[in-house]
Amino acid sequence: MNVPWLTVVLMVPLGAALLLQVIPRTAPGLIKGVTVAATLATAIIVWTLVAGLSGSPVSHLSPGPMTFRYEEAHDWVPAIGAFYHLGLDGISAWILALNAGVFLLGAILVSRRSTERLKMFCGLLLLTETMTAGVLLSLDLLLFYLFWEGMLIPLYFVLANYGNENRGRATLKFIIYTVAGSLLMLIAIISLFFASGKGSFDLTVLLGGQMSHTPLVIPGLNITTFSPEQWAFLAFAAAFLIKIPVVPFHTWLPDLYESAPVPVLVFFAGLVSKLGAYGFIRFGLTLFPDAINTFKWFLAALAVLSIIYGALLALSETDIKRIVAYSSISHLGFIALGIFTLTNNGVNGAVIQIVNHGIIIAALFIIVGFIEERTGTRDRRELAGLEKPMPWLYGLFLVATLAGLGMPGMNSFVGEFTIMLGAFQLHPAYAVLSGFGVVLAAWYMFRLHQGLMHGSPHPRTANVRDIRPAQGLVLLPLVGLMVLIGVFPRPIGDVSRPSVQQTVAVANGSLGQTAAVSGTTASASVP
Amino acid sequence: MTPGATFPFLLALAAFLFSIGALGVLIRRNPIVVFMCIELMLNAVNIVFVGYGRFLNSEEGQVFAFMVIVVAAAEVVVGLALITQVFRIGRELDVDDLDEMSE
Amino acid sequence: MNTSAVAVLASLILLLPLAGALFNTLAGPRLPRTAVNLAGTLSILAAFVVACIMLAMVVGAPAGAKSATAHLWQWIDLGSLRVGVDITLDPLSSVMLMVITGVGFLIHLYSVGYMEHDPGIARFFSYMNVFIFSMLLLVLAGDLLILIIGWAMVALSSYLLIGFWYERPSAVIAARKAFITQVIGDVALVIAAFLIVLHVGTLSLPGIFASSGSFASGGLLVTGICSLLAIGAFAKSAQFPLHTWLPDAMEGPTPVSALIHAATMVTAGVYLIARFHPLFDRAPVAQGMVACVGIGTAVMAGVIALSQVDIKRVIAYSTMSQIGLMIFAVGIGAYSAAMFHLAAHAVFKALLFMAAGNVIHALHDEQDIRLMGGLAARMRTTERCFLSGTFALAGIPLFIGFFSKEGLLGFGLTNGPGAVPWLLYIVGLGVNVLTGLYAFRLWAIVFRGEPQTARVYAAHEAAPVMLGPVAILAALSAGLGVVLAIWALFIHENLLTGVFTSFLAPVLTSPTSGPVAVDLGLGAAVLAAIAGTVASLLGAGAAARIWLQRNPDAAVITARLPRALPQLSYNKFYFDEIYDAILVRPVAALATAARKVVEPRVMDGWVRVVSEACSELGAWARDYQTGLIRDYASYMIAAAGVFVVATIVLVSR
Repeated sequence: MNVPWLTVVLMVPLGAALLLQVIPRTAPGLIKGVTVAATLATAIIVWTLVAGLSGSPVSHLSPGPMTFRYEEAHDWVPAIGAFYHLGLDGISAWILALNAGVFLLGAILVSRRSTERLKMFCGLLLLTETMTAGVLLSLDLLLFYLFWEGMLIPLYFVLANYGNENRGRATLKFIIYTVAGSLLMLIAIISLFFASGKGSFDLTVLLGGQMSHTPLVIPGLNITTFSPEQWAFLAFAAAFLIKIPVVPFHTWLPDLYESAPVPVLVFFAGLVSKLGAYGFIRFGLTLFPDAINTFKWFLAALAVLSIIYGALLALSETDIKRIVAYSSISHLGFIALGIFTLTNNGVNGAVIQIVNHGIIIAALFIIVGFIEERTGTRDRRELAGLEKPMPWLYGLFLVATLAGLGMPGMNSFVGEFTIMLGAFQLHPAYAVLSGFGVVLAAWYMFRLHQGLMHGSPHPRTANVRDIRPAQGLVLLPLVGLMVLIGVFPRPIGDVSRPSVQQTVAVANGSLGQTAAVSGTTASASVP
Repeated sequence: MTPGATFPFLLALAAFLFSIGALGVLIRRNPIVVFMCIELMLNAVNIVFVGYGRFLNSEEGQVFAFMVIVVAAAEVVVGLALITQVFRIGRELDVDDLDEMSE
Repeated sequence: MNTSAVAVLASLILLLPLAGALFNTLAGPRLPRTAVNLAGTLSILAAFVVACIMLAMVVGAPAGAKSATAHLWQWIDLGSLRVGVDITLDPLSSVMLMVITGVGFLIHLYSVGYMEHDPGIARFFSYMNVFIFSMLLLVLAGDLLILIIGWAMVALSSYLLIGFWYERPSAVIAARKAFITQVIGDVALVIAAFLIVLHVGTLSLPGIFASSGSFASGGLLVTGICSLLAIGAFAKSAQFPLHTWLPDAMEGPTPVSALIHAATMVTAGVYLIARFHPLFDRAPVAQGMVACVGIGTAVMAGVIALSQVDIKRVIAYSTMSQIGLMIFAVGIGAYSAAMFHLAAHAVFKALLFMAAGNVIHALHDEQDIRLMGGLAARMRTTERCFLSGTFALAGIPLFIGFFSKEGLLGFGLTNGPGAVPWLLYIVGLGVNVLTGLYAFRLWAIVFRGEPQTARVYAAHEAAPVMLGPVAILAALSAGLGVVLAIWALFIHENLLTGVFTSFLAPVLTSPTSGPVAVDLGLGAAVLAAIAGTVASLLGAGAAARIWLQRNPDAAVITARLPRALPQLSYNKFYFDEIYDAILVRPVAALATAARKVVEPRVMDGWVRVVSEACSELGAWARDYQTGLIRDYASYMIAAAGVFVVATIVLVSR
């Protein structure tokens, strides 16, 4: 039987969200059960799909240089060439697996605590999962945009309703920031539709520079500006740079991460911010190859700036939750840097690092949230000597810290090494400068870890209790994955490599012949 | 006279009525009179519709005129209700005094 | 050699310490102390047995087949970047295996006694075992990336062990300082790996060396690679300018200092350069830089060691100085001499540290040598062992240090950078004098003279479990050199470094290596040995007069020197202060400025400008929203007018 598995992936959380509406709010156990069961079911389906990805047949729904699997295509708004076109490839596969994982984790965390307006929270969580999965699976620009914007609706209600007292302002800032970027992207999508002249919003149809490369000249002033392709690319880039975020578009992040509750952060920091990076790989590289080749130097410089600037912020911050937030700016800079190198190594590294960072940041936020819950403070200066009362947390936190600073042997080293190798291929200066980021990361991560765990216990911290076994069991898979991926990262690379090769080939294809050249490259390099 | 010959006069009449209505909306302060002026403008437009319908020999102009009449009727219902309400709470009927919506 | 046998043995030797570490981490805190001790030490003893088997395999392998690389699993495959978890067993790694597991086992055994009152014994042994695992991974790695993983993991275990007593703020800071310095070296190694993989297309060590001929000799690329590798080595081996972490690392327990910061980890830099000799042979500029840094560090550390008053720091600086000599040796191409000194140094320096640990233990954690004195009468065995180590360190004939150090320096007579190769050799003789001076100063102040405090009177000899390992190493330090020399006689090699030269020859003079160090002729070797010995004895004799007979007294000599000299020595040439001023503070200030000024003013500033512009626009538009019907009507009519006029104009054109 030919099951439309990707639609199933989208429908399971959505269906569960609808199901929640008929459950009375007086049955929190049932609500939690449905939420966990739905996310778990999605996770099992997704992980099975990802595991079987390499073996599954390549569908031929979309001829072109890029191959997808489990593809589905149906008419959606045929009058304007919009299709319900879903597909999975090596790039989206692992991010989708991460997606399923972080939402499962978020659901488990919610099920272990009492939350006000539980039903609403669980419903929004499930809706967000559908939307983010849709972002990862859409191969039609309009469908992608629908999910991309649709994601903000449940996110807005989650962020605006749960968290500390500053959440309103922070949420508003985030929403306005992202909507501003997204609207630019919508304009670019529409102009791409008209410029291509193919009457389609399908990614596989629009591949390769379809827009005019003639620079626009402002009449009267005779100032030469960018070409339409470049303008459209910049509009896409604005949306994605804000979402990642890359300095200087990052200021929504620290406030939001500070105010959001941990179960939200697990999937928000763990996945949503990675979607910008995914968007760059899927659309930025393939739709505007010439523009990204023009701007890659500048964008990579911004990414390096993110790495160092985020690390500096983390170095001087005293609020432990904000330290983690700033560290994630630095780490996301690495991911962005990998993408902008336009090399196989860099983009592969970025895919690997997206997965890694999702795992690491989720674990760090859980740990930090736990410390705050137990000690009642988030100020680094008021915390010390937690190793003695909390030996188990110490060990788990140590592994997470090491992963966070890119310790060789841990998962993020795999990603950072390949990203820096790609950056080195772009220009050695990028690799050397990002190397400073690595040194600074060791500095701030260890100062955080040591500051909390070492030293003589502060009165506030002397009598805290260690984590309960159940809480340890939540962290254990994350920590285990950090070590496992560090020791055996090959599965991720094996799945992502063919798709990354195709994408990079499209991105580096020369003007006009893009499709032909990358087509042969892809078929030659994929056995 | 052929239908075409009277058509410019019809348009001139409509323009005249419309101008009176617009001027009235601008300079009168009594909301009821403002209302009547709006009706005047709508009816000017109706004349244009009907005139064009006849000139172009199509029914659409007349159909649209009916549409406008219906809308105008609905508008009168809502508008007069509002005005009555304002009068009932003891306010003077002067549109220059009614600026609460800017707050 | 059979690669599958190598794979099995290597997996075994790596898994044994790891298993010990896991056992002690998970079960240790709840088990009795004896079980923890047994798990910690027996796992290393078993690893030592495996190491002996591996050494025997290498020795027994036919000439020309002394190196084997086993592929355990594919780490990653990204097309252009393929990395396998590979294990290379050859004479070089087998020497390191013996040093790591042999000395490592003795130090573990010693720790049982030294840490007997510490509640964190399970944690201690699991960290120590992780260290052994990491160090073994480092030396067995057959791929540069796997080597880097081992390289970073030894730094991690060093970090954990320096900060073992985590309630001391100084230990916490020292641990972090050590780790961050190591990360600088890691980054240098990683960038070197990029240069290598982009040039030769592989990171596998045999692969790199096989294509080492493709590097233009003396070219910019190979010089760059070797300089970066050297920076990594300097960070690990505490060489100038990345040396300041090592003295602070003495905050860790003494067995840690003996194992990590004397015998094994800090010598990894020497191993790295020796391992990468096919590249270094082709980069004379980098080699010269390495040699100069090595000898410079040796002198600097020797001078500092003369004035330090903390017993462990004196030994730490002497370690730094001795590693400087090894680095000098690899810099002039005398790899086998460097490896011999590495092994010899591991023996006598671990001995010195553990004997010092006995003293510290007996004096209840007192480390200031000015408060010791006269301990020889109370700790006779420890004193004799310490003296054996001191003799070896100073290079007194027939002790192991004599063979290794004079052999190493001898190469400097004929090899070296620049036009005057023997210039650094003369400096090396100066290092010999300094070594004699500080080695005997320490021994004289600690063990001779009169007791300075009441604690010394109460001191008593250490327990057998602590004395045993010390005595074994003392015996090795006194006798091993002679044994090796006699062995060298039988295989017709030179008496000083001959055994190592012939054993390591398959690695160090392979077809892939470049020009190698010129061996001395017999005459020059004898001359060098005599000159070196005279210098060492000169230092030792002067030390005996100054600190034993107090004629002239140390204070008198200090007074005669220019005031700046003792000041510089005592304050370690102010490196900590300089780095604090030019590196740490500016970065911290930059970080504060970024958060307090740039973030709100610039980064959020442009966002605020945009949002304020929008608000302004809104406020301006709001002024027209009067709420008055007549205003709105006039806007509408005006707009309609504009529309009509525009239409007429456009249509009539």
